[in-house]
Amino acid sequence: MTEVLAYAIALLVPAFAFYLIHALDLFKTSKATTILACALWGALIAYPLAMVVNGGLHSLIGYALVVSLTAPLVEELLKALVLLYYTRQPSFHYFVDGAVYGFSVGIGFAMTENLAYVSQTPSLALAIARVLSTSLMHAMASGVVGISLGRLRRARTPLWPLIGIGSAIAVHIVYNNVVNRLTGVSLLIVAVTIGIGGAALIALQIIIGLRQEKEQFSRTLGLQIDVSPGEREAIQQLGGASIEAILQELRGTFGEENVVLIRRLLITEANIGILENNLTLCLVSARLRDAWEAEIALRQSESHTIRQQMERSVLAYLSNLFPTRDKAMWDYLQEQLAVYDPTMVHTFDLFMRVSELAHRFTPTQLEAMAERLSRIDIFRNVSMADLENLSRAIEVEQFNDGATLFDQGDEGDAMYLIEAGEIAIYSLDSGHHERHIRTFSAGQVVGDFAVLDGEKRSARARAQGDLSVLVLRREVFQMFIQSRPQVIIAVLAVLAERARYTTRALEVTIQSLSRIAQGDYTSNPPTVTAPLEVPAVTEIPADVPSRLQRSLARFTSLLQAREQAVS
Amino acid sequence: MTGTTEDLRRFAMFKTISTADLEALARLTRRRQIARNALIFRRGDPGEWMMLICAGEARIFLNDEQGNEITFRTLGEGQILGEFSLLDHKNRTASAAANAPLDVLVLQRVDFLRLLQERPVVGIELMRGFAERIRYATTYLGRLNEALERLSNSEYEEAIRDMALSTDEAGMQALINTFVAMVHSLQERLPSDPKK
Repeated sequence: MTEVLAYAIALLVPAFAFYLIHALDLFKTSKATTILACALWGALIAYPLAMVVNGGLHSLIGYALVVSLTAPLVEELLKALVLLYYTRQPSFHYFVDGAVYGFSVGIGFAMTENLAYVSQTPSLALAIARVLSTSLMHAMASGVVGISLGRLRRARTPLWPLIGIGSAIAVHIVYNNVVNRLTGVSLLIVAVTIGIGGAALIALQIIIGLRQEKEQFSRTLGLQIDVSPGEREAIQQLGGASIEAILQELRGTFGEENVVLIRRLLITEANIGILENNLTLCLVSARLRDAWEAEIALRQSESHTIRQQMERSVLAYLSNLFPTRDKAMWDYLQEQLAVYDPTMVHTFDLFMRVSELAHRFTPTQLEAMAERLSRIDIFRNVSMADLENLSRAIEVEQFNDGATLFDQGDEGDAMYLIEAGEIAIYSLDSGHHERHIRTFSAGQVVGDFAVLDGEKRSARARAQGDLSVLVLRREVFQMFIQSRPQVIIAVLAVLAERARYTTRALEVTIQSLSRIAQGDYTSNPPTVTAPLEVPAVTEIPADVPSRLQRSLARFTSLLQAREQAVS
Repeated sequence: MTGTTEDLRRFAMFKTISTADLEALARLTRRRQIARNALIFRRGDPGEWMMLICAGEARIFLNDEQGNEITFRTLGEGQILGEFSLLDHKNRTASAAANAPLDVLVLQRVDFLRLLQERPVVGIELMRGFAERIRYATTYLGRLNEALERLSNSEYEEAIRDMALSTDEAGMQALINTFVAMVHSLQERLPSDPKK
């Protein structure tokens, strides 16, 4: 019975260590097959080989010297062979994996050694003490060797990794020299000390390793103090390429799936930071502040969700790489992300922080401008908070009577909302003579579609009387909406409604025209139902289809009369 | 089964969408076969999805007071059924049925809105596309209005010259072609202005 128990302990304790590695999900990046191969190497190859070598040395230099000096050296080297192999594989990226592989070799080795020991000493108390201490010692020593070899691949100098390997061998030597002189409780104390010491060594290696990685990434980002201003500028000119470089490296370490999450997390965190800066730095209405606070709360829960989807090892790595308290790093990261992935980052708010456009309006003025924007058709579904935020970038411009706002063929780069005065629109004929088409007056808008599609101006616009306009640049508007899908969806809803109406009008018109072509003036023309909501302010006239229908009806009766006159 | 990016590339609505975004969009679509004469939706139905026609033909129709079907549009390969409802969430304004067996990709409104949340760039491109469509259609309808004035004065050649500019937009080209054909038939039937 005692014997069975001793064997069970000899096997179950190391097995429990394996279970811990798996259950804690600490190092998800390592491969299960590699862990197994390492354990098998330790149990079936390294241990028997060590016995052969130790036996040979035994007859050469004597038992005492083997146990106290050469056995630790031989055993650590034999165990390390497989680690040397795996840490050199192209698929090996994350140095912490080296520790996991090291544990596995050590535990595998200890399993076989325990079985051999228990078969000779069927004393339960000794078996427990011995099994615990040996398993811990082998696991920790090889763990330190593994992480050291792992770091050897990335570290700039091999100093720390070599110290790690040396200390593992030293611990093993010390252990071998005390283990046979101790029994029971004191042996257990030694075992626990070795366990804690080994764990501390590994932790130290991880901390130093991560710090070096962080330095490396900081250098990539151009943040390192020891980088000269010139170098830093050169790196910054690469713009988002540096973020791309970091993500590319992380892709190798953690795999595509985690990098997608990392990217989303970085963007979410960057947006939270940007909105928090908004709250501290911007003078806006309570309504907009509330909206920002609500969005921060939403993004924080988003960030929480992403973190939950991430593996713990990735999170630990990230919190070292991008610590939340490092504000300078985050501010810089925000800008970098805005360049690298402008579509999701609140670039508009970043821009408003540095632009000369910032802080020109009081909260009351902003609210009044938002109110004016909300009357423009394309903005009628957009929230007032969003419109107020957008209003921060509005420019107020004055034009003298007759001055040109834009010319036919110019890029459609801005929208003009008339405060006072009028805008006259002229088309130019081949001889560059102006033909007056329309006049827009106060409260009306010119170029609302230009901010959406950037189409070239189809006509010339000039001030009629002294003109004061609110200008919204297309560039700024696009920057604003790129990270605000709710605004895009609100604008799309209005556009879809209008597109539906004009498309239907087009179809009905084509049918009317072919009916006239066939000389059919009698059948009722199909009607087009106008959108239920009366279109608000817009440059593209919404009443064109209904005007056309009236013209078609008049034209049809005219033709009918004419044909009767001919026949 | 879902659609592919190659399928989606055939639709003008997606012509400026990047391959990565198109892949995400394709994953949201479901392929469906619809039998000839099957009713697709009825006027007044909620617009919860749109249908991309890969093959076959559908008609859009309304029923007049006598219950007769008045077809006012047929849609074929490369055309989209119900794209406006997807965005303005209005009920169907007409009914639709299959003229010939249809091979379609269906995109649900909820999925599409989620995609727009994750990939705003897609929304920005659609915005641009819709704005262009409205702008072009309004411009050509306005131009037609002026051309009708000329026709009232029997200025046939001038009317054609004003109207007949070529365009790469299929809907507009149909309008221009129909207009030119109409003017030619009027020229035959009413060769000269009786007032002159």
